Amino acid sequence: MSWKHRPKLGLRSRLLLLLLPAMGLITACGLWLTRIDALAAANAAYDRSLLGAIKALEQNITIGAGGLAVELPYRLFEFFQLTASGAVYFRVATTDGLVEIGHPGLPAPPEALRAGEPVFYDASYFGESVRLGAYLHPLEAPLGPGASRALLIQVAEGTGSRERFSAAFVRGTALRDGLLLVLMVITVTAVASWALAPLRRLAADTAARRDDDLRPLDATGLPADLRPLVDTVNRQLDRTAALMQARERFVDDASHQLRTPLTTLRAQVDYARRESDPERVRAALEALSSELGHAVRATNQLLTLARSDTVMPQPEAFDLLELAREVAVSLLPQARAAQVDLGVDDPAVRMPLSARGDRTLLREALLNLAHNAIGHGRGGGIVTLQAAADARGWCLVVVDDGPGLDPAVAGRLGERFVKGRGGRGAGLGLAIARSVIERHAGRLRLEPREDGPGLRATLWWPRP
Amino acid sequence: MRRRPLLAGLVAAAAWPDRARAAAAELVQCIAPAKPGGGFDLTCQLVRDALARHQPGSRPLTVSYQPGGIGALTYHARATTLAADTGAVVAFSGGTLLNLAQGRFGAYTGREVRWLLSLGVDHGLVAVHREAPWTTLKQLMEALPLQAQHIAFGAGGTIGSQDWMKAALLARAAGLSPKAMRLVAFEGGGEALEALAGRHVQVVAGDVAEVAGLLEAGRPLRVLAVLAAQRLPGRWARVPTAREQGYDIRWPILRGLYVGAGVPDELVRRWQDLLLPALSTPASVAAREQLGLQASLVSGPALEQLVARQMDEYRRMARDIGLPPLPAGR
Repeated sequence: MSWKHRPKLGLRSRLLLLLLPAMGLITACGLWLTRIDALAAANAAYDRSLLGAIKALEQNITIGAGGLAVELPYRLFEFFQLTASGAVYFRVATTDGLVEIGHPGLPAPPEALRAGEPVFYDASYFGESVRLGAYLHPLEAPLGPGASRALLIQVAEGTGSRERFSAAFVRGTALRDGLLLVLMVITVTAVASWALAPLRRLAADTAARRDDDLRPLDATGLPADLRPLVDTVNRQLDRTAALMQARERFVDDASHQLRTPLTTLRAQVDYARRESDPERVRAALEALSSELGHAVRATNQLLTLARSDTVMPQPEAFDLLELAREVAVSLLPQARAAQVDLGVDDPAVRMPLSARGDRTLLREALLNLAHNAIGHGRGGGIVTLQAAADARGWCLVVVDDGPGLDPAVAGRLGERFVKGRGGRGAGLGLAIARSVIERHAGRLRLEPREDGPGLRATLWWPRP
Repeated sequence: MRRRPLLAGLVAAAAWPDRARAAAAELVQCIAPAKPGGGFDLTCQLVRDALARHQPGSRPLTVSYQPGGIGALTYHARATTLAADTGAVVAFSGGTLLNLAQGRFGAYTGREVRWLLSLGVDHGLVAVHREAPWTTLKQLMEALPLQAQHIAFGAGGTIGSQDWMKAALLARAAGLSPKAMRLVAFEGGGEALEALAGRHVQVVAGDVAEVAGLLEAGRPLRVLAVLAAQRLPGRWARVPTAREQGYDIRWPILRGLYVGAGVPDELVRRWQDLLLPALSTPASVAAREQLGLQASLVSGPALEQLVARQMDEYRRMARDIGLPPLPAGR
């Protein structure tokens, strides 16, 4: 009965399939309770007439000359028999059983009687199911020395008429409940159709969209229950759109980034081919090699950027200082070539500075920032890498003592292909750093040093 | 002659003041321990009429009614109180003995009271309403097992009483278990017969003497059979016995008087001396025979033996018919 095995069932069918048995059960319970109520009501009404007969008998008890006599109210019994439409039995007896008038052997009351309080109960008399009323009539004086001081009056009638009464009552209720059930089914069907209409409209609208239509779904007019679903779908659409955009950008980047060096290379190869002077050919080949180096680096950066743009960061725990040292070591050749003093700010006590983030991406970001600092800083200057952590997050910092930001591009730094003054790079370093740190929900801050010329580039990202 | 009883009375008065007062009492009252109209009533009336005829001008005997368990309450009072009810005799019948024999009056043996005299033997009969569908005993007996539910026996007294015994014997003869027989108990045969006349019950296994009076009075009753060995004389000569109709059921009923335990020997003798001659007159015998009684007078030790014998016989019959055991405390 698992829903998984009934994938074809619509919401409306499911609703009906669940509601109908539940409603049926409730109706059955209701009927059962109604039957109990009806019997109780019938009993209350019929018991009153039993009590009437008992009272009539009681009033006809005479005690005189030490004897006991009961004038039997036959006329009343006859009327009573008519209304009860069944046999009527009665018994008047002293509690010690010495005197017994009426139908002997009427079942005794189930509990001890108190004088003046009638008790009604069901029992069987000669195989007939009867309802009895029993009543204790106290005698002012005992009928004799040591004789009993009370009379037990019992009146019984067949339960036929009260059962017919309650059966008719229950039949009426069953009919009413059945009708209500049918109305309920109709209502549930109609309401389910009405309630599910927005869903059908949404499905139709979505199906009618063009393949490249990545606009968010229209949630107006939809029930609140559907909002989360639509919102989720819209977020998914947003991500898809962003991904598509990133891809397009990558294609743009790649065509821009690769076409230029390839054209340059082509020109240099053509030049080298035309040249016959071995010295010049060699110089051309040197230039060719250098240009190829730039092209390789630009391609790597491009791929890093594409990955940072499109791949979800894979957070892991790592040591910030170790990362900074690793980056410093890998850049030592460049630093040496540029005669830059590249160093890591080590705290006095060496201890691991644990952080959490995508180490590969963050390493790439720091590498690019440090590379920029070496390239754009003062020749023979000092570049320092720093790492720090606080309660809110972590930061990696690159400080140089160069000329600082080029005012012409200061506002646009971090955008793609925007190069600082005299830049030899592709203008992707800051873009990579910014992309990476934004994927970590952090910020890239570029600001002049407070203690003299130079730039301070800070990568800061919060703790998760 | 007059001094001795007076002296005896005085001596007794010193020792037993209650008895002394009783000794001084005249016979003034006959108690019928049921409602009017039954056999007890009849017994008292016969005694009253006999006395009135025998001693015209004397103060007539009053008949008082003390219904309650077909004599149970009255017997209980006579047996337990030494206080003599001054000048009272109580009517009894075979039914009284039957109830006593079964302990239905309480834990009594029959020797608690003094049996004064028996004035005749009555017989049981089977009566239905005059418009009932059954005109012979056989028709009734054939209908009985088939319509047990709708044929209710009226009885003076509840299960175990003599009316019930007669009904039970009939039911058994008809092939119906006495347990399945419907019964409505009344305070005496008179009430049961009135209920029969009012068609509130369908059959009464009553007594000849009490029905005779009702037939005289024109009550709408039909007698199907008398439960005697032979046909009874007088007006009963045309009613067949049950035996004639193929059901050997006989039910003789002793009718008589007893007095309370507190009544001294002296007084008992005096009352016997008063009553026996009065009941022996031809007029009194005729009055009883008119009702269908066999007018045999028994008293003294002979009556005590008869009572004891009857009670033994009833005990045997009760066992025989399978009477439900009496609940404890009865």
